[in-house]
Amino acid sequence: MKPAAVQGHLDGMLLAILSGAPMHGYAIIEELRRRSRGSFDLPEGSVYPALYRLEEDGLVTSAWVVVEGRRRRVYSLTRRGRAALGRQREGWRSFARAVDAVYGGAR
Amino acid sequence: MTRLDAYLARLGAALPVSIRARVVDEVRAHLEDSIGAESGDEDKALQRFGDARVVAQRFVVEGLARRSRIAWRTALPLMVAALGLTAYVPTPMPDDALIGLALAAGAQVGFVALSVTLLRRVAGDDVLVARGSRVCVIAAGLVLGAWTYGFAETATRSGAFGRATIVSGVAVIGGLWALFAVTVGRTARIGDWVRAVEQAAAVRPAVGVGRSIDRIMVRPWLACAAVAVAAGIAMGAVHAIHHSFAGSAATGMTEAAMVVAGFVLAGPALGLRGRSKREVV
Repeated sequence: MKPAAVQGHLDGMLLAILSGAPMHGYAIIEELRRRSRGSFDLPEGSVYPALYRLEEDGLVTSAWVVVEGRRRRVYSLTRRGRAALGRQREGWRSFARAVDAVYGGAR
Repeated sequence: MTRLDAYLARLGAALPVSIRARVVDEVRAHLEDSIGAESGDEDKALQRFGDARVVAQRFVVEGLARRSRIAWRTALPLMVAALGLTAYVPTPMPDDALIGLALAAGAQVGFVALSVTLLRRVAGDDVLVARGSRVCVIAAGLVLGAWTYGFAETATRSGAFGRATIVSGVAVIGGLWALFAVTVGRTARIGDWVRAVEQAAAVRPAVGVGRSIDRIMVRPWLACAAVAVAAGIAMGAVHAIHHSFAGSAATGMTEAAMVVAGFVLAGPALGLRGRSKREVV
């Protein structure tokens, strides 16, 4: 899938990944790749600015933590982030249903 | 210097100082993992991460919302102070028409910029908030500059303060203002760059209140009329309370006319524009 097509949904997907457990950037990207079965081949450098903005907006929070002997910046979802994820998930479902109906996927 | 170090140096050089250390440390940790996963192939890991300048630019774009908030928080008190001085403190004006003109123009343009930017803040348009904040800071500079000049001249003439005190006071106020102007101006330039990128990609999201305010803003005459009427009523009421009812209508109309002049002067800088023929079609 083209990176431009993924970018518009990146925020929601990052929030969804962090809803499971706090993670550092590399683990988030690996999880994104695993869940999409390798379909989302984003430039890895585009994920960190998105995480930075989500943090500025108060949807995620981050802190330096030592993981397996190495210093990492670990991100976790805030309460506002969880609420935003719920809204984005619902918005995506109704959008996907509508597109599917147009393509005739229901038949 | 390894390829990783060179890459991080390029990234750091293109980032704002405020986030440089944090981002470079985080990207280093990521790339070390990535290089390990690629069996030590630095080139492949760096290629997957993306061009250092592009990554840095993305951070700048994503940080605009915060910069825009800071610019507004700088511009708002400055403009309120300037308008407050103009409205409530008797200005020690010298007999200088140019200074009087700066005071009047600054106050009117600043009032318009403040009103329009307030609406943009509600609409959540970071780019235009940054642009409006720049106009506010410049207008406040005109008002505060004129006021400081008048105050300094009166103080010099009366001998209330020594020359050194007056000069250092003016220098401190001027220096602070220049610092604000440079900071807010930089944010506005970043905002303009972001808007140009958005327009090239035909992305301009606006929902809810933002969409309603956008509808007003593409009809500048409507925004101008709304602000002029509000300002006219407010000034008329202030006149009626402090002086008398007689003359408050004239005061209100004068204020409304000056607001219209402010819109004519500041409109382009605030991003107020009519719909182009192409958009109408």
